[in-house]
Amino acid sequence: MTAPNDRNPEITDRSLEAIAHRLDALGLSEQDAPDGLEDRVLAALTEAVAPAPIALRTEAPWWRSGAVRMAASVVLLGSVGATVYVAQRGASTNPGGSTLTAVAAVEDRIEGMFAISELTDAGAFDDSIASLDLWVDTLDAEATGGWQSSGLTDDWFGEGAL
Amino acid sequence: MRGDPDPAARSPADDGLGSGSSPGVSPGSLSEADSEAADLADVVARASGGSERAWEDLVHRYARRVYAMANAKLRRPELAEEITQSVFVTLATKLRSDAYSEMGRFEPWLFRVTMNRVRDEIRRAKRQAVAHDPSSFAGMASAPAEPAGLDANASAGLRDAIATLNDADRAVIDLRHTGQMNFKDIAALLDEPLGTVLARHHRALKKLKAALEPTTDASDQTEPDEKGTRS
Repeated sequence: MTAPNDRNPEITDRSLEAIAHRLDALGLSEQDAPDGLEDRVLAALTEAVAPAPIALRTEAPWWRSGAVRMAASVVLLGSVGATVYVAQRGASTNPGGSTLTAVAAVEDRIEGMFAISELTDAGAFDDSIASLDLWVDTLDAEATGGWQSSGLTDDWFGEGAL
Repeated sequence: MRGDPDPAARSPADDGLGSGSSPGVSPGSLSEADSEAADLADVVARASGGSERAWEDLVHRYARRVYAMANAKLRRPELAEEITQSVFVTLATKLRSDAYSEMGRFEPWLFRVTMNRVRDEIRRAKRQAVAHDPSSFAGMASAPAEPAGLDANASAGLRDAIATLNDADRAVIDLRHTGQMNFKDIAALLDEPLGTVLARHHRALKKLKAALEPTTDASDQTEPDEKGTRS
């Protein structure tokens, strides 16, 4: 316990000193807490400042953010528009001769579109493909193994139901 | 104790007087205070770094003083303990989050947090008392423990006298005699000059003396009557 080690120089009256003595005694009596106070405070501290559990969900990567997706969509639409415009213009200015060139340009644009799509939405795309594969596998299992080998029977005709 | 050549030899009760007539503080006391401050700063730094031992040290130094401050105001031991726990949790949270900016003023910060928590609790209890039953707040108080050296009547009289003080005077009395803070830290906590705090403490003691005197006079007058020396 750290006790104050200074004094009030204005107190020169012994009767005031006596009152201060009584106040000190009263103050000390207020510290008479139930046993184990310190232990309970430490337990509360331990509980409060314990390290948080590892986060199960992490923040999405930057390339999956909404802003980047929107920007990619704009680029995609712009590319399509430009492709169509170039193709139409080429067809009108040089009919026949530039058809192959225009088609090649369209192919390039489409390839570019797929590349951008993969870049910007690879995660969601992968998730969709994975879900699709899972669904196809389930259908295969049901088709080849019949109802009893499928998970559906477990749900509907579980233990004790039949 | 006045004239004590060794300040370190004084008992805590003597140190806690705050009433000595010696205006100066001896160099020995100064160096002792400095070393205590340095030691405390070290403990606080280690606690903020997560040292369990440092936290044990802080809790053992201050838990009962924080509890006393809360219990003196609320007169509810279980609530005082709850507040004590929450005060230390607040300290830990602030220290760990680097939000602690009271370097060298740990005690004022600690007791400011305590006073704020107690004030919040009193407000909350008053709101509930008004909302439900006006008499319920008064009925919250449990029987206080009697201090050593003071009988029940004397301590009750002293508590009643303290209750007559205004908030500013009472804060100084509580922080000094219940929180056992030194005047410098009280001044820092209240954000007032040291001289103002000393003057307020002096004035509060005089008010307490005045409030207690009628009781003393009454007992002085009653005693002769019981002995039959007065008609």
